[in-house]
Amino acid sequence: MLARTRPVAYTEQCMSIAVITDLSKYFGAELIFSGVSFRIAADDRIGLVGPNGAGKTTLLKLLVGELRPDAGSVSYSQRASVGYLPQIASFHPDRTLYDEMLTVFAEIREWERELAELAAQLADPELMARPDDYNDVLARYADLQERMEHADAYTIEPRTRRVLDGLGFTREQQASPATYLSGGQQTRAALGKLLLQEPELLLLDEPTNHLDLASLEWLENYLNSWHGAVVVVSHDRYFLDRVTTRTIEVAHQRAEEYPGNYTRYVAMRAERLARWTKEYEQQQEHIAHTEDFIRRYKAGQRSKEARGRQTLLDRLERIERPPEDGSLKFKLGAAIQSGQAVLTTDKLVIGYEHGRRQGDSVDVGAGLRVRMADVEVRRGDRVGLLGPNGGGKTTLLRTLVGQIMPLEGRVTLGHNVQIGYYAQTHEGLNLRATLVDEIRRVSHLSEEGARGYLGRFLFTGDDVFKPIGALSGGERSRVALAKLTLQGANFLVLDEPTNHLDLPARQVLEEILSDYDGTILFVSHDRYFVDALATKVWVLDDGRITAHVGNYTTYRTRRAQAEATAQAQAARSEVADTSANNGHTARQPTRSAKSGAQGRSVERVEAEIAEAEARLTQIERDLAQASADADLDRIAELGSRHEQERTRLEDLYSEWEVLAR
Amino acid sequence: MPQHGKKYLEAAKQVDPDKLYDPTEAVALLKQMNFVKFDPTVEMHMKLGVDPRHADQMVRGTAALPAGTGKAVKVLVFAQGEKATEAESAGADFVGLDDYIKQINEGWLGFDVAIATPDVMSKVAGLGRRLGPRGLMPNPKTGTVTFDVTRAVREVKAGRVEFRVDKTSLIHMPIGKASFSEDDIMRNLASSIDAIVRARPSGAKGQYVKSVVLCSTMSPSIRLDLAKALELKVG
Repeated sequence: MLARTRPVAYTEQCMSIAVITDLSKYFGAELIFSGVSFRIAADDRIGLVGPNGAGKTTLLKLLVGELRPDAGSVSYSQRASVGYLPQIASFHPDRTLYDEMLTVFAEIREWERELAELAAQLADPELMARPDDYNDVLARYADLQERMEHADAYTIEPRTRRVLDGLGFTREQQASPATYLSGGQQTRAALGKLLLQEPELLLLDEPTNHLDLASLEWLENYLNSWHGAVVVVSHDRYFLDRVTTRTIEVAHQRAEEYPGNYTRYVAMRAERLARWTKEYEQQQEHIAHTEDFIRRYKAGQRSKEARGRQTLLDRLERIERPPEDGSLKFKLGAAIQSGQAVLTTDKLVIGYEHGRRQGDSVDVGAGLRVRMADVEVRRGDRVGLLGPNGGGKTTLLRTLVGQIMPLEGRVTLGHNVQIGYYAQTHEGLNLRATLVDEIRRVSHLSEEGARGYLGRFLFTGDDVFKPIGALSGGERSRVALAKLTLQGANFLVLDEPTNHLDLPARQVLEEILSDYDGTILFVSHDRYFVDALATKVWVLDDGRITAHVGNYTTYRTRRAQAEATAQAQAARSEVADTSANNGHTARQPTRSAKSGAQGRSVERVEAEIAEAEARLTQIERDLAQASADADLDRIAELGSRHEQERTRLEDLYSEWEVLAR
Repeated sequence: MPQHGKKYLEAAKQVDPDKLYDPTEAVALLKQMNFVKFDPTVEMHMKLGVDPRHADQMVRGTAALPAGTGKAVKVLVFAQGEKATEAESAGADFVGLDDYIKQINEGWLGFDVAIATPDVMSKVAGLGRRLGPRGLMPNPKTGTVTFDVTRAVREVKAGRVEFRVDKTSLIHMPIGKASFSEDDIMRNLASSIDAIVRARPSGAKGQYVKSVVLCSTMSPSIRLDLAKALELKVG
């Protein structure tokens, strides 16, 4: 996180707050990009897109001044302040969240300290004896005080509280170390720091990684009402569509600018590429034709014409071959098949006590304790685990794979189950090892074999000799996936596998996982990914985990129906409560209930009850059949009908009760 | 649309909203259209060509109103020993140190201006969170941190007012009461404009004063001819 004031270098366009001119960057001998030029206006919303490892984060780091360009310049307008949210938020391990926020005001704190010192000097009789020095101290004091007032320094503490409260952090969390927070909460905290800084230009590097759905919505709304300019790197197309108005693509060592949001960019890019390809092909055809002519007539009667054509050909401005986007090519397969039952839990309680850090999902103060309904994962199941940030999703996965001991209960793995675990933070990767070494560590591949294998994960040429620590977030994800595929596991446990991956890679991963013949348990905040993949969802809410059949949309529909039913029941019980308050017991029919039922006879209601009971029995029979057929859609549909019918039947029973009395 | 009362509308008829008034004419008109049952404050509002978000374009200072503000200003002086006695004899309303610091921390704010001697600033500095947001913190720049407490108290009592540009680049200042003579209001106006022009910050670019408007409490406003207003002589 940085906030800095820059000198004027460019004042030609007062509306632009930053001008980027002809930027080039090399890492060693490798060119990342060159000739990158664009302007950032005061209210721009720019989406920075491109494949993993193309240099998006590098460009942001150049903008913020963390890296120096090899050529070109980045110039800011006078006093433009820049706030930067890096891909991985880092907090001081000993600082509480509240203190971490106050670090934004480090300069003000420094002024405060100096003011206190100067005030003490002002009372010094020795200094008073030297009027010139005394006046200097007084002038400095006045200057600092004015700066304090200008920066609203007297209100930093209430402002900080307001921001933290607004971001949904409890006072308990505010008083605990920031590193105790989960990945999503840390991103939110880092955004909170930016909020307090109020820079004119916000640079966000994949802010949506680790964010849960509620936080994602909050971020979208926050950025839409942001007063300054935003440059954001993201692979979440829905987020980009909602937030950005301009798109810059960093790919193939250059940057191309497109007006409009992501959807518009995709359409325009396809159009541009098609035009380019056509022009290229036409020119290639022309060149081939001309060369053929020259070859045939170079030595004959028409040699003069041939030489002329050769001259023309030499002068011809060649169109570059349009770049081709690589895509991941790999297959996931289980080495051996597991038993039918892959994993069963028995009265499982997961978590840890008293704020000890265990993995990334850490609650504070009172620790974390999540009770889980007994579940069984069957072979071929694809289970999506949903839940809010900091709820304990990572903790659950780590408990299931045996990295953390459960607090109570038991986890039993089935016969021949081989687990492949993909950690959210890529902690299984050795950052110092080169790609080839890392792959060879888990396989028997030769160096050449490993290079070939890495090629399928889009690592080419000298890429494979880079240390993993030098890779971008998305590239590390690809290495982790490469390692995973080599293991031949039949039960994949994936913690946010789509984070950092670019869109094409996400789609490929989705397809590969759909074709996978083993069992998958995964956490993801990418609603489309969950929808496409999950056949079951586990929902972590309020310290409980419940299992549901069907994908995310089915779960949402069912939950909405359940909520509606609960509301209806609440309304009914309210009526009952009112009657109890009026001196009747809940079972005694009220006058209004009686009068409401006056129009219907007991016989009529009894007939309706019989019909409803028959319908319910039929639904139950269909449900049994659908379960046997494993027809998930039908099960979901029948489940909701069953719920409706049961509610209706209960209503009829109460009505009958009233009438019978 | 806000609704105005009959008397306001009557007064507004006397002002031509498109005209830029000569300052003397404006003051005479202001006194003439006074319709309230109390003695209203005459206010001057000025639009400046500065961006107050930047520290080097901040406009702040004091203006001595020769004819006074027409209001009784309550002055608190943080001083001890000899300086405390001096402040009392100069007419300060409250003089002391630890007691008043304690009272202010408990929520008391019964004064309009706070003055402090430099030697007690180490104790007064702790009141920043209470006084700072209200603009009451003693500051050497506004002459409220000084050993010359007698002069500071007398000046404040005699009509020294502070001004400070707000977030919208405006300065609002009281320059007397409608009961003052036209001459007195003119002298105060000239002195205020002069003080603000002299406080022009180094970072200000282009036209510094953009417009000057006069009004009294609840009255319609009168736009001044900028050139004539800036030519007013102090004294």
